[in-house]
Amino acid sequence: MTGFLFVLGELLRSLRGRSAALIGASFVLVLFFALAFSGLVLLGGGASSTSPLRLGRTELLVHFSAGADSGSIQAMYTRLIERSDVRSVRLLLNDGEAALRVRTVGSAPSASLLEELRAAQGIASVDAPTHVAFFLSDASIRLGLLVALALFFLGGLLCARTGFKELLSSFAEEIELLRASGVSESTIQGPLVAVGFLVGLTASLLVITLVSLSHLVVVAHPQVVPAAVTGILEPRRVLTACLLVLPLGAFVGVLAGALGAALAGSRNLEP
Amino acid sequence: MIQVSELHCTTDDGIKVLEDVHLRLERGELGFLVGPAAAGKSILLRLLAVQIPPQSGQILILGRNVARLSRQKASELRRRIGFVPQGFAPLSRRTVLENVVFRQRARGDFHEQAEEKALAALERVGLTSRLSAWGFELDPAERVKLGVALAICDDPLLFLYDEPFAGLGEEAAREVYSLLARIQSSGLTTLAATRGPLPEMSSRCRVVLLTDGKVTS
Repeated sequence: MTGFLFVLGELLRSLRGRSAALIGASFVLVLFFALAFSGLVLLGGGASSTSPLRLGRTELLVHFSAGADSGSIQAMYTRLIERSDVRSVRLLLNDGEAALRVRTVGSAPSASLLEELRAAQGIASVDAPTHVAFFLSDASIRLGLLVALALFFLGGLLCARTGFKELLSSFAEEIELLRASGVSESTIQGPLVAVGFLVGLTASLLVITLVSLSHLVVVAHPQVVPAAVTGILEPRRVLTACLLVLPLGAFVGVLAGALGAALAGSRNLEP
Repeated sequence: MIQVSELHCTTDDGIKVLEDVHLRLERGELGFLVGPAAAGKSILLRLLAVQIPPQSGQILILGRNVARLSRQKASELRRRIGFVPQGFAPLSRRTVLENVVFRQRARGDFHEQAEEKALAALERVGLTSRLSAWGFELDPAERVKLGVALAICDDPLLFLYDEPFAGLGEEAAREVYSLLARIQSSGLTTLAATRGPLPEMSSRCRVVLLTDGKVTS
């Protein structure tokens, strides 16, 4: 173990110039990979069911002014439920303030409905889904994230392989000496896998920190969260994302390190 | 100490590198494998250093059949053999002392222990005055000495050197031969491969001639 740690330390000390830049780039790509994966886990989901203040793509939130009486609220409720472009209406009460959550038919609330609601008396404001939600459906975001995931994965591995190649060429003399000295291949190749593991682990820990901090921030200000990633408001999904990202990032790192170990095992290193 | 019998080795292309090689070296003996280039000397030394497994035939080192050793046992035996490969080059960006310390630390020694062993080995080969010289500053004879120091640092059971006289002048070759003889006289079984000719003073050693993969005398 002492020998392994010593070689690992020497290997890390040899990281400089091009090899450091490439391994650094691989770290960034693994970080983006882990971020994209977290995005997939946190994407969409129970906006309307778990968070009453978040809106789905077909939803509107109608806030009544403070002076609105129950009669006008009831009248508005009836008017809306009778409309052909409204699927359902739900009354929400929060600290004495009344609001109606309106779910419309079709892919988005119609402009005429919005206009009518905004012009109606006794209504303070009307919340509509964000612009992003109109343009990007969950499916298209998911597809984009999957493509990004694949690209970051391949890019990360490619950068790591090239970086390890550079690193090994600057460490070739040492490897030759170690081999001649009867040092086992695991002591030579193991540290390369460990470097990859450290890269993956650090990237995933950084993503976990980012996701956790984002969760803490958006829980305090839920209105800033785009409809597409409302999963970040849900502690259980955030925890799931964190628990999955950690082993996944470490696995990608180990895979990158294994590429380096395979290069070291090829015995064609040129100092 | 070393007993080789009916040893054959063929490359992937079907070229015979070693053919029915028989060799015996007693404990504490100094031996030279002499032969032209591509005679199979380096392969034979690497086989004896347990760096590559034998294809057929028998290699006994300290009574242990190399072919029958598990990976773990082979690794343990490899660690007990001091081997300097052909074209050995020291770590150019490290000092002489750092070269030996690096090797020892990678083999699991702590720094103080590694340095202690390194200093003792460098003293044995006469490189004490060059401890802080960089690897790239060493002349060919000093490189050979450093190679020897690296190989004997951990008190091996067997010491193998591939081409210790390559690139050396007559005087430097004699100096290196004296060093090998001194190492051997301390009880360490030593075998070196060389294209020859051997230095004049090398009469008290076993010489094995290897040509085209066969022991000729």
